Amino acid sequence: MASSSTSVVVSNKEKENKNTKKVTLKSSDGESFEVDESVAMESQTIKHIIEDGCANNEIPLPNVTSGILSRVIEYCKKHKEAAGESEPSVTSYTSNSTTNPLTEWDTEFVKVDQNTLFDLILAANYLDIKGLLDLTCKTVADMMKGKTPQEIRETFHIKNDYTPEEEAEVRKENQWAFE
Amino acid sequence: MEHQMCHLKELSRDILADIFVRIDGSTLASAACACCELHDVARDQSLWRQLCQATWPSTALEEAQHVISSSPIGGFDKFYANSYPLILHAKGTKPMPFKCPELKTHVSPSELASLVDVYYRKECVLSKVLDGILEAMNFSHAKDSEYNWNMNSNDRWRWYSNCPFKQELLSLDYDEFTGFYNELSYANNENDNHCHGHDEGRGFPSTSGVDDENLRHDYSMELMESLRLSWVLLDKKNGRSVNLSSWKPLLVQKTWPFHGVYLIHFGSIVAVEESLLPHKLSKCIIIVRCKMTEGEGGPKWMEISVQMEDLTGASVSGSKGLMVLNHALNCLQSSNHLEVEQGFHQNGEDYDNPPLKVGRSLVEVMKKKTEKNVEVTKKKTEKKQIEEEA
Repeated sequence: MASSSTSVVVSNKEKENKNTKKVTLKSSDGESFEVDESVAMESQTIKHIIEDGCANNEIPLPNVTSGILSRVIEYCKKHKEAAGESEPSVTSYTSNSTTNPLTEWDTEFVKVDQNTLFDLILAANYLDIKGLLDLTCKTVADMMKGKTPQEIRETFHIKNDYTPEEEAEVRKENQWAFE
Repeated sequence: MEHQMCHLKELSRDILADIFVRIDGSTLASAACACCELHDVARDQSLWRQLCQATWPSTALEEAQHVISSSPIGGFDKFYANSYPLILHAKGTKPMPFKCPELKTHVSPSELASLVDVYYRKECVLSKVLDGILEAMNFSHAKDSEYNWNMNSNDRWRWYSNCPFKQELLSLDYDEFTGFYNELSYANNENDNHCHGHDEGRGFPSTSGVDDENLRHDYSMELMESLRLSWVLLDKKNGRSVNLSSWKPLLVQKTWPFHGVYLIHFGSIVAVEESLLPHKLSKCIIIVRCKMTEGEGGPKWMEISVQMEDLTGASVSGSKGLMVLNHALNCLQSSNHLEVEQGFHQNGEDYDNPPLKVGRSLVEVMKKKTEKNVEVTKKKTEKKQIEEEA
């Protein structure tokens, strides 16, 4: 009976535990991933499912493909480990230190093509993983910085849907940013 | 694949907002120009309010809320657009003609609010809001200010119009006896004032617990690099605003070698009509006097005020000063800070040759930097040539 696992409180300070509870996550394309419950609970969405006692066999995630899910799990594992090794309050998304190895890992983690990056954003949003959402949104924000409107369109493959008159007006409104 | 999918547009507005919250104002404006949908999301006033409050913490103060909301500014995005770029003075800049509808001939001092923010080492150390030019109005905010006389408003206005233009943000007592400023600590602890004994023999104030060594140390470079000031003037009636400051100091000087007091200038050059001022230019100077002591966590303010001079160095009267401010609200601006700095260089000769050559002006620093850059690039090209030949 899996219900006994839902009443166990997972402590942040828990280090090696031979009886680590596991959960199985199922991607939209039918692949199953077995992970430690504590790692899965990095996702608030999954946490609520488990706490509500609905995690009987597998937790289906129809919005996340296996490719993305495996990356998300990688992220959660890494961050759970890091939180376990040091003070729980030190997590990657609050630390700005460039010497922080987790920051370096995060930077490498988001060096992916746009398709993957945006899928990660959607997954992080759906699974409610704040750290991952912050990281991916910040990456997109950084991709925009300092670019002209045309450069932004090119980077993100945006179609210019302004009429010439509308475009002239919007440009005028925002002229201050370009001078 | 020729037709790439636009992922950005697939995101929900919440997520787009989450991304937009992390970019600066110029990028946000740029994104708004990319397409209609981004424009919609970028117009969200809460995004701009956050940007304004991050750039000018004074806008988050209660007095500021009142001042901004009671003016037809049209939103925080407009406020940012008006206040972010700096006043540009470039060769051939023409002032707006007096007949121009935006330029009224009379500006009331009560309509001009000021929002001031001072940053030291990237942290905001002072934020204040002034609702109007108080010296020209019926009351004064500083109880010991020389402007605090009982006069009726006509007399006050006549007096103010003819005195040199000055707007004080803060000013401390000038001790006539010793000729030195008495220092009021930032927490306004007036008891400390009398503890600073005066060494009449040498004429230096003895500041308790501070080394002579410390007073001799020259903080000019540090102030030049770490001090930033913004003075946003807001026309409450018309909803226009402008940043009168240069953000970076134009001048840093130690006023007396062993006194530890520094004089710093910020400001801008405003083009006006010839009938208003000779040479058609006015220097709008924000004067900061502060004391620098090690271990006391930054500058101790003694004075922060706005004054005006024409190009000959003569001060501008109160009434003319208001008209200069009126011009400032409508003049050419630029977000390109390098261009703005060059504008000072070509015109503000005072900033090339400070009267007291104790400190260094920004222009000197920039000159040295450009010289260094030129040298470095020269060396690089030489190196490249050698490599290519090999």
